[in-house]
Amino acid sequence: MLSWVKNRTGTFDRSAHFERLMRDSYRQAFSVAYRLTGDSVDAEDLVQEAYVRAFRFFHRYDEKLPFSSWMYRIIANAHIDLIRRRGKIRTSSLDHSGSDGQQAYEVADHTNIPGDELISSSFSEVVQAGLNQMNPEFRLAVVLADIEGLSYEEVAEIMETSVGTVRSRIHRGRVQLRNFLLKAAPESYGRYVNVL
Amino acid sequence: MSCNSVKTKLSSYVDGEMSAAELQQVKRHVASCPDCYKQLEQFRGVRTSLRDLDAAPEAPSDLPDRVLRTIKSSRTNYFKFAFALAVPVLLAAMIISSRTPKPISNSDRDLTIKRQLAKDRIFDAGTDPTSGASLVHYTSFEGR
Repeated sequence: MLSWVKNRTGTFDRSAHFERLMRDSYRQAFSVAYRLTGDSVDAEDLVQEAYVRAFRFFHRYDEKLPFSSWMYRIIANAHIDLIRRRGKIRTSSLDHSGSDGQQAYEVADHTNIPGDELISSSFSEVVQAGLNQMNPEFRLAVVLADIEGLSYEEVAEIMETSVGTVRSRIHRGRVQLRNFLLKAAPESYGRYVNVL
Repeated sequence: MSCNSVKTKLSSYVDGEMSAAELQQVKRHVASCPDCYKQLEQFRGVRTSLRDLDAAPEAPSDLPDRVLRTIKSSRTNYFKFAFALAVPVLLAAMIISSRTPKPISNSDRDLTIKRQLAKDRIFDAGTDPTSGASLVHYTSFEGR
């Protein structure tokens, strides 16, 4: 489909290579985008934006890094830009603290919703709601480590930061999510915990 | 190891992301501290909750084709933008260049001076010493 570019310059091969990588990775990219945005339509927009950026800067892609990791990085940056563009404001009830200088750009604040208001939702939906409220950097670190199963070192490489910072972000993200679950769905959460 | 120090490490402990020595220290502390044990269990619960999440919705199967169309369209737009930008810039450059005086060569300069000298007139003025009449005699630099 990208064959409008002539092969003579080698650009066609680059485009075909990109297309192949994109077709292999888009499901995983969508899954991460969904966890970051908490919404299918937003996830589609985010994935589209991320791949357009990836194509534009494909000449900078270092083949030593897995393409999915490079895409995670682009998705993460595009997600932060998306949140900034939408002018989401900082919420006040989350456990913000700037030990690693983080700023928080959040969606709506649901932490005061009583547990019974979320009773009709599945526990997965409640957990996703908790993810949606995290500081984006904490959320990305938690999603990559806990859902994608990456090591702290891999997360650090994707987030272009130190392992120490990743450790801190994951810890703080889990604290936020724990506090949210204790309020929003203590019974369901309690099934995962020996001592509540 | 104090409770405060252990609590900041519980998340890494759950993931096994610490040195073997630290791991042993935290393990020993948690075994004898109910409060830190409780927090450890809560972190384990958070991690398990995330790992047990229902699968994310399937990505639409036409998403790659839509991405490729967007890329193609953004490239076309880029060329249109570049062309739209280039045309006025080129026109402006042409206008500026036509209005800028060209540098004069040495031979042109000599010719100009020669012509100017031919045009310039000088005259001698005074009184004829014999008749006493006033006298004006026109000439040019070339004629002298």
